[in-house]
Amino acid sequence: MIICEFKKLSTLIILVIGTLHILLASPIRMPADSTPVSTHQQAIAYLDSLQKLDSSMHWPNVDPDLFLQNLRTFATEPLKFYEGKGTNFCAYSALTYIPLNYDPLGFSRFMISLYQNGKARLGKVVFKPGLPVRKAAGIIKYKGALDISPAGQIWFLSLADHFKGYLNFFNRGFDKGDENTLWASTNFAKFNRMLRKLFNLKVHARGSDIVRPWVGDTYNYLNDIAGERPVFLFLNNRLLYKKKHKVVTRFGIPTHFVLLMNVFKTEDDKITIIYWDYGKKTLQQVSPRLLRKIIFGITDYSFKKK
Amino acid sequence: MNRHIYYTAFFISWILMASCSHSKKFAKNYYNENEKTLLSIRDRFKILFDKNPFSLELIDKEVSRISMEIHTDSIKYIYTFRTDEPFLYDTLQKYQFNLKAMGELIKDMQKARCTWITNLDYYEKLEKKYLVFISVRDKNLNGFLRSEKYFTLAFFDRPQPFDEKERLLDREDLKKNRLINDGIFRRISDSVCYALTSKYR
Repeated sequence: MIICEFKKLSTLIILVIGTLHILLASPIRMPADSTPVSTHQQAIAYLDSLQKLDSSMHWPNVDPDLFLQNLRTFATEPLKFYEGKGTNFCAYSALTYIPLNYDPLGFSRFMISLYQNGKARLGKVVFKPGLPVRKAAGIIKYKGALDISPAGQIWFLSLADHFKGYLNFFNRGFDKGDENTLWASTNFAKFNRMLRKLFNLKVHARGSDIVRPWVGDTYNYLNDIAGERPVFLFLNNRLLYKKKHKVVTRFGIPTHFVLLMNVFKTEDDKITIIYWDYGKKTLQQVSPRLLRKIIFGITDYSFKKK
Repeated sequence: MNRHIYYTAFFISWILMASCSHSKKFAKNYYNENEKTLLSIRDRFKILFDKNPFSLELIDKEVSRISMEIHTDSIKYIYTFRTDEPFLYDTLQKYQFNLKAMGELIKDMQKARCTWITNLDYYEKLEKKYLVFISVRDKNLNGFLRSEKYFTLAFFDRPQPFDEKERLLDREDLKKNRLINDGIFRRISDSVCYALTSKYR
């Protein structure tokens, strides 16, 4: 009897696992709950409770007062978060939208812990940045507002130090100035992996580093998925800022990550996109053809049920 | 055989030296010829920018299409126009720009072959400052098999430190070159410097 039931049970388990596997692989999305885990006020209250930070031996060039002031700004004005002029930090900046909007308190706690202990855990990742990165944080210069954001520098450098993709293969160790080089760059698969590992998200990614996503009408697809929450786009930035000085066209590859906040059509059949990058929202009108041409990756996400 | 190698090396280094001196010569000549226009563009841009922060780009070779970035506190609007279409002036009016001053600025930019003008922010002792950044595209800098190059100019509000090779220095650390858009800039005057770069913005 018991053996008989065991046999049935094992068959049942195999069936359930098989069905779940098929369900997870199918495009049906998990139910989402986008209610923030914590509020900006909670983050500010936590940062105020610290009053003052001591200098950290782990981050010798980071001023603790400025660091704390940066964290306050992140909590109160998350959309002003800035990746710096000419750096390859756009992917890290785009994904920072998630913690700053859904769990600012958790992010503040993580940053404080990283500053004080030189290591900290976020999601499934334990960050323990190497010495070259820790020495560089706080002294990256000529990058606009990133110059006065040591907290931003710590976050970007820690992410780039920890996560590696094929683009980082030939430049894995940090050297001075590597914020502008392949050391800091991010390919599409790496970006999606970071989202999954850091924020416990269910990530729905379409596209690649070379081939555009097969989504039928790009506008309709974006309009469908961008209704509930912003969507990450992997773009060819050179085409977005169109410039026709030379007749020769360059090989079109995506190099820039942005967060698409809204998309809608206007009467003249133009498409208006509102996206977030470089610490600001941008509104721009593009033709349906250009929209299809510039987008190489689309990443939508939903929250896993706990 | 050795003689051939020697001649080839000599020829290549001569071409390299000639192209470097050509670029330097171009920078000096261009600035001298257009100094008045450039300074006037800078001054008018600053006045217009103070009222409505914006950046302006001439997109095509014929400098007849412009792209305009209008910055508000919360959002940046990017528009593209042909200079002869009415939407341009409708939009400028909507944002309460001085139409006459904007028209003159665009004309002068076309005349001086300016591709891009913006106000770049930079920081000194945690204090935010601005410099006017202008890029120029000239056919003398570009040619067959040559990569695209721009003559970029930075206009500071006050005199800047330079080293003995006339390279712009960091005011906070006089041993370091101060980079703008990751480029080393060279002196034209105490508060104006230039670089030849592959990026125009």
